[in-house]
Amino acid sequence: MDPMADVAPDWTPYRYGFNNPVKYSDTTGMFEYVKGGYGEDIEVGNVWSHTEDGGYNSDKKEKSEDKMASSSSVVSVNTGYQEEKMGATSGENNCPDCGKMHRDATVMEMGGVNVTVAPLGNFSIGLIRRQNDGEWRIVLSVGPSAGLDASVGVFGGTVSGPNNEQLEFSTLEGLGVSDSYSAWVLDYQSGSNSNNGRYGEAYKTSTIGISFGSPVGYSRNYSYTYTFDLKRFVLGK
Amino acid sequence: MMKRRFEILIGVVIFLVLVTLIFTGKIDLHSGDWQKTRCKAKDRAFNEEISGVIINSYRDSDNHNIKTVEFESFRKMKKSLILHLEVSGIHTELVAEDSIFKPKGQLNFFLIRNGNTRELMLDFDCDQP
Repeated sequence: MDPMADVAPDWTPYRYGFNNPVKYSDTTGMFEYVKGGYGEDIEVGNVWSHTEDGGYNSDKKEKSEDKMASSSSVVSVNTGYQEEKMGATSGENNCPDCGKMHRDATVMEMGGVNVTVAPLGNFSIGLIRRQNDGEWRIVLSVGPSAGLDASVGVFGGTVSGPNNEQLEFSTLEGLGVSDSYSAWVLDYQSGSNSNNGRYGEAYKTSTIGISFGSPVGYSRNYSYTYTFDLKRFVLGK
Repeated sequence: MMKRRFEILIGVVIFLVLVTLIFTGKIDLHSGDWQKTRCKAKDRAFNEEISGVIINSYRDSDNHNIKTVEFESFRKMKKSLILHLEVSGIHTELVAEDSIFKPKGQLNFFLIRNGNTRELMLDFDCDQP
């Protein structure tokens, strides 16, 4: 007996992937979900989306039905990053923030204070915020540097992950490498994780900065990054 | 002194304008980079052969949450990261004890489960042939 049979009474319980295995998957046999990776927040008609912990967003069903009534679109995507991949419509009801989310997988913004004294080392501390849910963390990086640069300043920029996926804060944690170029009071820094270069990065960072120090400089920074939740750290929740 | 202050002021204005443009999505610093990265990943996957029985398929929290597949091949434990940038979701399909086979020089990926073989195609969302 299919325990989920009553969720889709119009469909035979002996189906697989709503007869569309290219689009839908059902690895546990419980119910269909849209293919595309874990942690997504996708609603597709009456189809439940799967969650990071392997469960199903059963509460989405009602919302999907509401949206189905107000739109002829079958697929609605509320992260925006999947929008172009999934071919969803971008009507106001379905995707209120679509205007700013057509970027290619850019999912976090960060800013803070940076100190670089190459060839000794680099240190930065700041805030990082995930665009699609507003979650934020404190981000801390420290490590040795190669090159010649001495600067103290502030920076702001973005972190992106592979397309069609939500970037987790923990993805940034660990060893990373970045190149920093400074000219006059302006800096530019780009980086990524250092230990996965062979198959492609897990994330990329780019920041613009303003700093005081040497008029020109270059450094390659090897740093260990750690993110932590200030609310949990202070309040213990 | 005045000139120095003026220069700093101009620098601050440029910085604020650029950061605002980046944060509001008017400037995307990464899209071209990701396209190159995806194509590089596709090339490397194309040239790699995988053959074995899956021991574990997971996101490695000790390695930037990268999609990782551990499999046994000829009694040796191997680890493959080629599915990290794969976009069709094959990684989510894999479970322990599945047999997998990807020949070198192809993007075809064969998944054998309970005697049934499924032929899948690795997709890296790379525009280049």
